[in-house]
Amino acid sequence: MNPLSVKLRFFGAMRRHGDALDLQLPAGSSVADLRRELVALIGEEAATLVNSCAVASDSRLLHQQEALSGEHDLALLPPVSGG
Amino acid sequence: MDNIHAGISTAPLDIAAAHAFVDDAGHGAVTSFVGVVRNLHEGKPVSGIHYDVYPPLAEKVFTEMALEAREKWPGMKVFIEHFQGYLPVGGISVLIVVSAPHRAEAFDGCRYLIEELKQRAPVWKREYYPDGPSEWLPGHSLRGRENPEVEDAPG
Repeated sequence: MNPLSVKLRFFGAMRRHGDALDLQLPAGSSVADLRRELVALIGEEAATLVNSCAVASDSRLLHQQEALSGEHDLALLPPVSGG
Repeated sequence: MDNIHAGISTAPLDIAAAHAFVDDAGHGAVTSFVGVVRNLHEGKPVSGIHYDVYPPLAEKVFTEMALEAREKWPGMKVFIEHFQGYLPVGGISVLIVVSAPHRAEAFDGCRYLIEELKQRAPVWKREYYPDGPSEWLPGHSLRGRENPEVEDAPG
């Protein structure tokens, strides 16, 4: 199976790590795997912030155990503070 | 969608346009919430705020909130717009205007929408200070707000 290609957009406090990151993940990876791979790439000091973030597509929030498939344009959403 | 406006804007938010949108000869009450950048936060002088937004999801969340309001208060007209970008003190960051036949539901609907927006909308504030580096503000986590139709696997 082909690896997954994910473009992960950053918002809010995550922008200190850039506006987006392209990740390659093994086929069958879940949202939780994506989170782990991200921390491995950007550093353990970001783990608390990454774990406080929701993972979303442009139309909904994704569950932690949800399997990713195909190419993905996803977003990492820190705790929100609008209004 | 009929009688619902849910948007993100990089242009100044327009209170008159919002009121025109909810205008209805059968509605005797119009209520507004106007969020404005203030000059002080927790005792610290503030010069402005940058609003970071994930527009496609924010517009979807605003529409869902508006549909919930219409479910609770049938016939309500709803205008929700949030600003994206930098605003100095006094700038309008969010505009919620609703109309309904009577004042009770107009007040309740407007209050419901701003409280939900603060909990759910993918928007982030970066505060700027006249005498120091800017800071992203803490907020409400969206984890656990996933659609319950797709359950997490056990473990």
